[in-house]
Amino acid sequence: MSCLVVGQWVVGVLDAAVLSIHAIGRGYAHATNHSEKHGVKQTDRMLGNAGSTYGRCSGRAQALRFLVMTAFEAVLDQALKLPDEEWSKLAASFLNSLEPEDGEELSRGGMGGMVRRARQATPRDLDRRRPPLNPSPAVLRVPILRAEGKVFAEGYPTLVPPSLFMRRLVARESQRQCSSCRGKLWLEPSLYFYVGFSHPSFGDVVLVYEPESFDLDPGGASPFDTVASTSTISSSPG
Amino acid sequence: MTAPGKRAYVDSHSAPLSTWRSQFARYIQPTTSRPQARTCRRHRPTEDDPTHRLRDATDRRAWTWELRLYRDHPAFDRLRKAYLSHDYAEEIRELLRAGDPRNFEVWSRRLSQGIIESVVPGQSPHHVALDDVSRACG
Repeated sequence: MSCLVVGQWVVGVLDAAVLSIHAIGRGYAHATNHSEKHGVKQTDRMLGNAGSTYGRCSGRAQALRFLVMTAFEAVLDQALKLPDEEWSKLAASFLNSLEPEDGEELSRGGMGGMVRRARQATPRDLDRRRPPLNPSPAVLRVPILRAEGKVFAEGYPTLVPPSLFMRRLVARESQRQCSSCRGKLWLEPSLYFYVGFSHPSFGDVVLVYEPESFDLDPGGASPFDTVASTSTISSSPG
Repeated sequence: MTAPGKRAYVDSHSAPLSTWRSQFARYIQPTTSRPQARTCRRHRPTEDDPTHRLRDATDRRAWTWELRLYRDHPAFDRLRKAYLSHDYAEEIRELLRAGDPRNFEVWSRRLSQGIIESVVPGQSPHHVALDDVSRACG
């Protein structure tokens, strides 16, 4: 069963708002721009697949929920087999297909709330269920960087030449702005490092550490992207 | 976003240092079929994205994974290389000439071993470091 067909079928269920094979089939046909006959036949086949469990549902609302969640599961199971790029597109497209049209309310037995909850739960749920990646050696061996000698609003650099002889980077020495942000996020005093691509003209000293330098240490890591929303809440000043 | 919301967001997007690399791999995987391309500075953002914080049209979007270490760290422990601006390097040379000869010896050895690199005037140490890391990633 293709993801597209299941997605369109769910749209058909939502479009029809009535749980009969003909009604769903017509909704499916409307959503997919096919003939009603095609939609009804397609729906009949699908309900035939899930018939035994479907038949045990008591009440239309419960059956409707069951059908949508079954479709969700089927789509997610299919999506998990896809490469990440295709999965992202498919998941976004499928979830968007569950959005009601402008001004339309989904009031069929709390369907709107269920869809919203499913939408909220799906990304994290998908992430948990995805099989582990086998990162390439290039990713596993990316060195860790720290830029020193940066000058912030206070006008003082993070490190000056005599400090290098102390041979120690100190976690508690940090900018006021950084400490304040860290406090709000309940993060511990930290030394900040990074992998990726930072501002290349930033810092008079750049320290490059072996990739596995901190693997056994207490601490955390988070994405920090100038486009993603994490940039607005990161505790690092740099 | 409210303060509790921000905390929840950070919690949900953070990983301990012992396991962060698998999440890092997952993070960069959707953006390119070759993760190292993005890691190694070859990935360019789309030029029409108005949210990029670029200095000019040729600049690239900054993106990183931030690593937070909850302890102090000896600067030279597990250090692969240090890139120093020309001014910093000159100042250090002066300090070494006037200071403890043992320090001078240690630093001379690091320089000769290529652990410390003094970047030529006018070049950004950060830029040179990123170029070297990029080459090392293949």
